[in-house]
Amino acid sequence: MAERDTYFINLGSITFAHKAQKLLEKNGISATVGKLPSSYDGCSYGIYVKDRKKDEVTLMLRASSIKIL
Amino acid sequence: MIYMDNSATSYPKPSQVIRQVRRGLTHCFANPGRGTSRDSLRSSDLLYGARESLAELVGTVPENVIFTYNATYALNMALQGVIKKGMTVAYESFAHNSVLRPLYALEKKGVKTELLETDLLRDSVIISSFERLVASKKVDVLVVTHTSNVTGKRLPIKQLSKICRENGVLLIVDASQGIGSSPINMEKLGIDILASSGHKGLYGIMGTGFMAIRSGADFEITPQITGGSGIFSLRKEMPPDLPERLEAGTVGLPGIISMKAGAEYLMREGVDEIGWYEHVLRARLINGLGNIRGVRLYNADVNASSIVLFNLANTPSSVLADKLDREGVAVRAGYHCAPLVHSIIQNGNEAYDGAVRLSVGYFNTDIECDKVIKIINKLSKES
Repeated sequence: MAERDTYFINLGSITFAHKAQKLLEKNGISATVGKLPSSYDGCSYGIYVKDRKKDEVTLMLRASSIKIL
Repeated sequence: MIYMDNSATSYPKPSQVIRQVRRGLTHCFANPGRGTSRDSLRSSDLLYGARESLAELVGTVPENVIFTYNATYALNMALQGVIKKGMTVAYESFAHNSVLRPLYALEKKGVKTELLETDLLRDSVIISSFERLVASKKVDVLVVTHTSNVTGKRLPIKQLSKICRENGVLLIVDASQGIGSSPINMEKLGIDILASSGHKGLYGIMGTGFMAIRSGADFEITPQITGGSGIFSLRKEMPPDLPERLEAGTVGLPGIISMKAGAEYLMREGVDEIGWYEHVLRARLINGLGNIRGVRLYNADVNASSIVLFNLANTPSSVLADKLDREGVAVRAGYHCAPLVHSIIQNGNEAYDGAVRLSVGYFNTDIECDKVIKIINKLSKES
């Protein structure tokens, strides 16, 4: 699923992953819902975005009170 | 058959609801929030869409919509999740057993409960009772019915909410009967937690319900059911954030799809329009039954939308319901899981054994109402 030039933003739940995806789509940014492989406390959902967009996306999500893990 | 038991569950369901559930069963079969297959993501996308539709309907944010299996489940989740030992909880006489029984159980665990004075007609009684209560002691939670499932009365939520805001009282509303025929906006009405069934005015299928939490709420709801959440599997606790924190296990997606479709149907048709239509049908029934000898109406003066509560002289309510069933009319008789309001209606009459409830819905017609009036007239002559 992850391409070389994509960046994963960890949002925890599938709910927030979809919330973020829809927010970004409304702003013309493409995002794919994905899951981070098991970390120290188990897997979680997030979104894959183009690497070059990650800063813009991060700002947008934080402005919408979507918590980034 | 003339179905007039919409307060128990609505029938028929809009064709859009049936169509979307059927489509969901064949296209959204994977478990949402577990994998990342295309099928699973299609399911989870639909699940999120359902949260969005319900959130829009009741005035909150999608992540604050928690899906349950009925209103009873939602109310238990709210009451047991919020109320702690030593707290004081106020409630009123229109409450359904889905509120009363959890409160009685909480009383045994050291929670104090206060029953507000309630009148069948006058809002001023419950409002002044609540004002006096908060002036005399610290009240932590108020649980109130939006619309009575027995008389159809709408309680003064806005006024009660104002008192809650002024006194730091958390407001929980049981909206099972009112949703779909009365606009309910949590933000505008100042509701902290809303619990509702999905299968009555929301026109979803049975086995559905939800709890909605006010956007920006800062109170904690302790999960009562814990289990799989699809994320953070190595942790011992439920996830920290809503909605997953309060949705352990696989959700009932076909039912949730039905609630999504139902909510969208309501928003398209207009909740005010639906409420008005039901009000008109109810008025027709009240006018017709009021002219039948032996009929005793209990809520004719209540400003209600869809319920007619009555008895026929010399006929136990359960017998009357059976007779109506044989004539092809579906109703419900008895105490309707709401004992306290019936005790007000009973008013010391030892012969009272509950009453028959006609509850119209958006798909009933004036022709059906006229037929029901004719049937009850016939039964009156036979009794």
